[in-house]
Amino acid sequence: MSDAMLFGWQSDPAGSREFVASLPNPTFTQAAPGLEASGQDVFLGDYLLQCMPSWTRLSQPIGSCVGWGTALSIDILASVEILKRGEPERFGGRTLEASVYGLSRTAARGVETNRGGDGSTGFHAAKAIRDFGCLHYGVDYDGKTYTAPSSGISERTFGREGVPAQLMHFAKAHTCREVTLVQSWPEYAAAISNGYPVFICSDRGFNMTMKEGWLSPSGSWSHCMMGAGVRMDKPGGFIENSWGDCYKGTVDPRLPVQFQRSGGWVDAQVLDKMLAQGDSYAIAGFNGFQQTNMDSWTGGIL
Amino acid sequence: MMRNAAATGLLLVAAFGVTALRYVPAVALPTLAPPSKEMQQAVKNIANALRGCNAVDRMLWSQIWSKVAAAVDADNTDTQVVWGDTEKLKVFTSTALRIGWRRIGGNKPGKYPELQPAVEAAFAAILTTKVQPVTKELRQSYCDLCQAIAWAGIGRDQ
Repeated sequence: MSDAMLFGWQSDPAGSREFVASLPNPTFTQAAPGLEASGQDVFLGDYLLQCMPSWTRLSQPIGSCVGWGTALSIDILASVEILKRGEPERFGGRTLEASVYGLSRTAARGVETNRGGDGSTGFHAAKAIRDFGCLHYGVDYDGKTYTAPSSGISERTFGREGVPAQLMHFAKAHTCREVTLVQSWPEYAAAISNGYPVFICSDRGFNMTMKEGWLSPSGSWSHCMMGAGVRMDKPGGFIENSWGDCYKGTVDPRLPVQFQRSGGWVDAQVLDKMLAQGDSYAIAGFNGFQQTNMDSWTGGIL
Repeated sequence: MMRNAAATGLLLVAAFGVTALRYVPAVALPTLAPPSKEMQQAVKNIANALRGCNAVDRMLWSQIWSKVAAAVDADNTDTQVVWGDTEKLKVFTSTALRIGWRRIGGNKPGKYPELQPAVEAAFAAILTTKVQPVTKELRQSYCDLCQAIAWAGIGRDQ
């Protein structure tokens, strides 16, 4: 159970409208007019766990939820592209949340530093991953390797100073080609059904006690979370939080253990209202890691 | 153990003559179900490479690959997966061979000259050499291949 409920989404309706208007395909429906929800339950977290079996949801250390929701969306997109779409890439590890968060507060706003308080917007995160990319844990960046979990100090430093200049070209190698606004339940269901993760920014809060994996609306959270599933028996979306295994109550046993208490199902009508706030995005076309080959399977033993 | 075997051998010679010794070192090879046609084809050159192989090496070969398959197959039943990508599987495979075939069996590289290329070719044909996630399907293919390699070792195809 997480002690701290940290948020960090900053609402800026005018800014998100301006950003969305600048997109070649502003909404998901315009970007993918032929795509619809499949009518079947879909849980994209399964793809992530196949690529990264040891994955567990950790907790954001500061008000960096936008970085955490967006980074997990990238990781799930990367795994979907490898396993569902058969793209010739390898899974390069977990995205460094601080890199997305930092770029959303600096480069995406055209500034080098940002001394304001913690937090960011969905559209700046969308712009950051499209234009500037992201870094990953476990990758050697000319002698600098980030290891999990990142501390509040490092996230705050990235949030104020941005990604170090000498690492910007590494981040640029891993951009998302397309980001597009998701503003309704049908668009969300179509996106998830077709393997496009959605990071969701809204002021909707929830009760911390689940009932069979369902979250009930309660209070107000200025928060970014991550949409990773749809179900059709009782229409709803699976929303992953960034507070570790934070929820009490009864879980949905059909979900992988790693997701049972770190996120929950949200009713389609509630989700529709969250998305209508206009700062949630589906992402596509992750520029992943080059596939590598092994020199042998037996290592010269025979 | 060696003394016991020697003593048993001498007793047999005393009782039945030299011909009885032929049966002392006999090794009971395991019985393995034949793999699919595809797998039989993939391991055909492995069976050929082991054509002159003695029974002790055959049994060891078969045991190593059967147990490798069993270990990896069990990864499918645990929430904490050990071999998440093919690079990790490769490390396990080569480590199992290093311990079983080289250290315990005392077999040096090149003892059966055609074995290494035949095994590599079989893996490349079924699993490729790409570094990729170990999906349920890939894990099953790996286990099927290891069982087929074990089967090729016991020489039932010849």
